[in-house]
Amino acid sequence: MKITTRILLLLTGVFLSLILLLSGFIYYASANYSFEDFYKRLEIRAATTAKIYLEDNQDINAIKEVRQSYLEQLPKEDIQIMLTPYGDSLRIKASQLNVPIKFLDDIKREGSANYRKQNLFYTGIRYKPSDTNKDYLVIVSAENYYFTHHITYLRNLLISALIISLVLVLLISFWISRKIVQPLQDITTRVKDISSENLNLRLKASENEDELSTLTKTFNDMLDRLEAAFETQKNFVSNASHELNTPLTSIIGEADVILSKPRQPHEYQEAILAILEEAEKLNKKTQALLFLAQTGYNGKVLKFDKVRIDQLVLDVKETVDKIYPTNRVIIDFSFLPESPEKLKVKGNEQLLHLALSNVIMNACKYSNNDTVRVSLGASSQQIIIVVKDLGIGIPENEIKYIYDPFFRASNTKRFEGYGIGLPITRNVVKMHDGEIVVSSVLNQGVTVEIKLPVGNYKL
Amino acid sequence: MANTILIPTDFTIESLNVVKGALRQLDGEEVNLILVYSAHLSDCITDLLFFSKKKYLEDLQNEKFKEACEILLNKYASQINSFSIDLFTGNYQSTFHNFLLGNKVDAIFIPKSYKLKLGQKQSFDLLPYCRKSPVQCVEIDWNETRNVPEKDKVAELFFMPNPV
Repeated sequence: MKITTRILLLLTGVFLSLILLLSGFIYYASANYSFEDFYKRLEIRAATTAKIYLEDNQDINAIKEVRQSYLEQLPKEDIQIMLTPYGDSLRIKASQLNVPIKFLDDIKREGSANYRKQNLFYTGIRYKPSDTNKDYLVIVSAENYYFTHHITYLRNLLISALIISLVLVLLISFWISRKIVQPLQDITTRVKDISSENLNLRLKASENEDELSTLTKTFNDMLDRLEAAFETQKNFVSNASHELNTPLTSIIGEADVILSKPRQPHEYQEAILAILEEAEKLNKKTQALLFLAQTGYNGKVLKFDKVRIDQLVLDVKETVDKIYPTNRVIIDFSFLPESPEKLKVKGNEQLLHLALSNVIMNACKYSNNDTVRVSLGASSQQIIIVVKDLGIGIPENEIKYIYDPFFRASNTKRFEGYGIGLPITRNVVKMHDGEIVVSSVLNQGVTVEIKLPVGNYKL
Repeated sequence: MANTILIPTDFTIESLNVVKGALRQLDGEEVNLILVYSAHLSDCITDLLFFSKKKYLEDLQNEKFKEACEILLNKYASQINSFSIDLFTGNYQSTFHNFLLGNKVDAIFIPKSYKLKLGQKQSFDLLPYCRKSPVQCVEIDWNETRNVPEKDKVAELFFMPNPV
């Protein structure tokens, strides 16, 4: 079922049951009231009649007059006055009047009682005139005109009102359901328009902060990520082919030139050396690529062991010392936690070594061997390694591409490298359920935070 | 017997430098550390009805601040006896005095040149109250860093200039 129909039915159902409940209540209450009211009228008639016929003093005339001028004749009005019957005569009287014995009994016991036979209403009172000690029953019966006519009118009115309101409710519910679903439909149509060809399209966000604008925002964020992923894919292919092509071109060029005419042996030697150099570069690149593919592959089972991070940092420092003998890496252990339990992670030492050395060597390289500070700290859940350099930094608009293989920031032309180190580092950190955050200010330096979950090893 | 020290905070990592400085100055002494945030509460009856101090303070802290606190706690594990974050909502110096008495505060450490970042409309600067309080008030100073890559990241904690 469509949401529109569901909302329509739900709203109509709720509204209709409310209206039904209300009409039923009104109908019941007015019927009840009309009964009560009519019995009271009958009672007044019984009382005045009893006074007129059974009392005998001078006030009688006045009462008679009042009765004649103010109490109109009711339809089928009938008044019976009788001495209070007992025993058998009670039964005879009852059948004469065509009322149940219980009614007469009730009058005798309670002093007054009401009885209704279809549309005929009876009210009886027990009356003791003041001058005698006789005891009378006065029974008034009449047809309730108000009940028969007014209540049918009310019923018809309620039914027609019900029908009209049903139509109105349906219309309103339809309008509301359309109104609610409309923005969703808008989103659907907009999203349908977006394909891999025009990923730059975005949904229009509404101004007010409601659930739908959140949905739109979430959609747009997802599109941003999708677009970035597509871009990465495209960049990767073009970057990879470019990177692989450059050494190949020089190899082919070198070979072409040397073969164009006969040459001296030393010239051949030089040329082959140049070719070898290029081939080695190519080899390094393909190996790095292979490694990237391996670390990026999730299904592979790796041996994870206890690794002490402070030891790892010192090991990496040793490695870096070999490659950049003039480096100025400062290892700052001032935030080391007091408990060594918090320094152990579950991981693969070789991979972590590679990841960290990539980061530290990058820091040395891009800061021209300026100071690089490496700090280590641990919260209750995570170990944090921070590497801060004072190098050239990364331009702000390029920071989102730094994990793309072969991507190199626009200000790194002077430095050698192929842009594979950081993607490998990120893959390794991801494998360890960690997180890497790179923040940078151009020409001020880069800070890399690597967070790894604490291994929960006991001492 | 551990000393209780009170440090105003604005829930930024830079403000934790005071903690770092204080713990260094006290060098090895055991302390009960109370970070205190200052803000006036709303007068609105419904706000007050559902007010929870814990939730209020929780909402103000972000993950990075909590992590930085944990790093400090791990670093000074044997020095910090207890750690808590509290809220001061009073208006008067005497209220603050009572607050100090209630928490049995022995010393206050405040930043000298760093200004607390009062992000919220209701929050107010606690430093004048601290300076006027009868309890010993120690000022801690460092060169403020601006425009560094690690601003507002956990890494900021590691590279802040050493407090004096």
